[in-house]
Amino acid sequence: MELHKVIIIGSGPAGLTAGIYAARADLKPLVLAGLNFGGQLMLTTEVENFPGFHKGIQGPELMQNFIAQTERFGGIIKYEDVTKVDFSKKPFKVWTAEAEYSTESVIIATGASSMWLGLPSEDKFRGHGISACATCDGFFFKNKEIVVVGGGDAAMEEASYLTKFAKHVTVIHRSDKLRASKIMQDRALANPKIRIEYNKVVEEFLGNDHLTGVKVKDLASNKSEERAIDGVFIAIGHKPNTEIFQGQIELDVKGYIVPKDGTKTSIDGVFVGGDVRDYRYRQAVTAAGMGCMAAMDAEKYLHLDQG
Amino acid sequence: MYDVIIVGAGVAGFTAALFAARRGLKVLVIGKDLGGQANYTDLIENYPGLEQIGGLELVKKIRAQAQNYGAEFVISEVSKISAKGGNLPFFVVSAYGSQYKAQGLILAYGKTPRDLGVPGENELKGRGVSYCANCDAPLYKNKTVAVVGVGDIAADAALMLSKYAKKLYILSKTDKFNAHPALSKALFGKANVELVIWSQVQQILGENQVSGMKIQDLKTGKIRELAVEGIFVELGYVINSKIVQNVVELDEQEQIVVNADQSTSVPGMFAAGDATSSLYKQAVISAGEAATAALAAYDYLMRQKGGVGLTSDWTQIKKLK
Repeated sequence: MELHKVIIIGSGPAGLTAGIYAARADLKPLVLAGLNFGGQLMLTTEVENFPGFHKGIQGPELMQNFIAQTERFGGIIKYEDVTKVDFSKKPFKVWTAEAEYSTESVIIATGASSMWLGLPSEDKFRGHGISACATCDGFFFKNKEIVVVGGGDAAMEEASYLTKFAKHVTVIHRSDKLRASKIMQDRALANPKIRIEYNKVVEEFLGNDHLTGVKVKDLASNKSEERAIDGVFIAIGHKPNTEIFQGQIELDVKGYIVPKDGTKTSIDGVFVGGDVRDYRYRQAVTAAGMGCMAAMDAEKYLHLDQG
Repeated sequence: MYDVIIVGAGVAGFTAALFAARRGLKVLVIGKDLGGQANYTDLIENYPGLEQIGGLELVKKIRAQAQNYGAEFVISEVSKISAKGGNLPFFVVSAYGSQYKAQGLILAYGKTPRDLGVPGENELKGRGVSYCANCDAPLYKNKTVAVVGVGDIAADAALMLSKYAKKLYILSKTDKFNAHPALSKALFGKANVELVIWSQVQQILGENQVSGMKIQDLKTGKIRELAVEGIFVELGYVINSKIVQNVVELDEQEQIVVNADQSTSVPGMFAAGDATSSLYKQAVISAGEAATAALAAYDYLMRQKGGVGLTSDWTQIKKLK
């Protein structure tokens, strides 16, 4: 079996920036991109905050650029999902449905996924009125009517942030109590632009090409009503994509990979970058920066390891 | 009064401006020149998302992007920064006789590679004289190049170059190389690498493009010419930290000491990019740090005002630590 120098798991901004840098360092990285490649930017439309694109760029187009760049420098991209890893001894092993791979080092960049409500109509309007990232998309909703779905700290913070742009923000929460911390609740409740509706759920998203409304069900009365709305932000949390690393590497209680000294992890030779370790900043460019660091750290590790 | 003043007009400075302005903050960028270290690179190939771009061109794009969201930019040289206490602390930035005030400050003034200081160097910068092997090494495929310098920085550069160059000379003023033994071993095990000891560069030669260099043998005093197409000056960086001396904590190399969220020893003061103690000097890393600095500054400002700070997926981790 071929022994790879570095395998990169994940193909969002962190994984592919690691790919570009590892390829340019002539490490011939293998990027296991997954069947759904490109990460969270594939779900967004216009990306306005990736530095260098002053006219904006479509998320999928940006990721295609990353892929082309990685391949141009000699990186190999395979669209396979990783099913299992073994970091217990070297060389490390990585399995996909198609093959078993052997490698001297690994860069984990599997990212995180926003949690969604799971309604069929939700898929249809993602990037067309439905978003899971206020920082990314809030700016598009100047003077608009917005709904935020959720009841935790993240929902309160998203709602408060969105009042900078929106005309009104309605928080829809499925129970009679918010999960958010008291201080976050107090702030949201004191904000005249925010209204919180309890015991309600979004049943369906409405519109043709773009979201124009939501159907909201009152769980107390069991009655549903349609209302016109310009945008919906789903703020029910994120989940790091780390199921395959359980028991192989140190994770925190939420499942995020615990970084040690930059991009290192609890396993010597395994590096990490991007949202799979970052529950706070979560920007494409912060992930890209970390992916670059991880590739540079992996290169240094390979040089020193080889003596 | 601005919300945030950013000192430095390179990749880090304008990326910080972009993210701060997008958060609805009132932002001013002050820079002595436009471009920072990206100016030393004619062509960047490793900035993700952009196939090939000139260093200055990249900075101009990010500037335009920041200005789209209302960030202001003045060209001026900062001469003094002072922090004022009180209920709502703020900073006063003096530049060309003007004073600018802000509640948050992001230092992104970068650093400058140390020049060799010989005739021909200034004229041929970007035309064969490079200060960044990571940026430019692939442009020297099958060419003869020289690295001037010793130590780990020069060794890293030389390792990168040795993968591309036909012939690589490493010039040392002594008979030693002084890099990490593993790096030295990896490097001098390669057939295309040659250490030239006791050698001092006298002059860089070439009309529009580097064609060679004059070097003096410090043992014999003899001067000879060495034909090379590229010269990588790896003598470290100089940093102009006078403006923040005695204001913020610096390390022994005068780099600003930063925490994981790019905060510094002074509340409200953040730093990003090559002026910081970060080990990595790449445009995309500077940009990532700058985005973090801007979001952390936003968080700081909102909390100062008693408002709501940054969205975090998981705030609980702070309590666990």
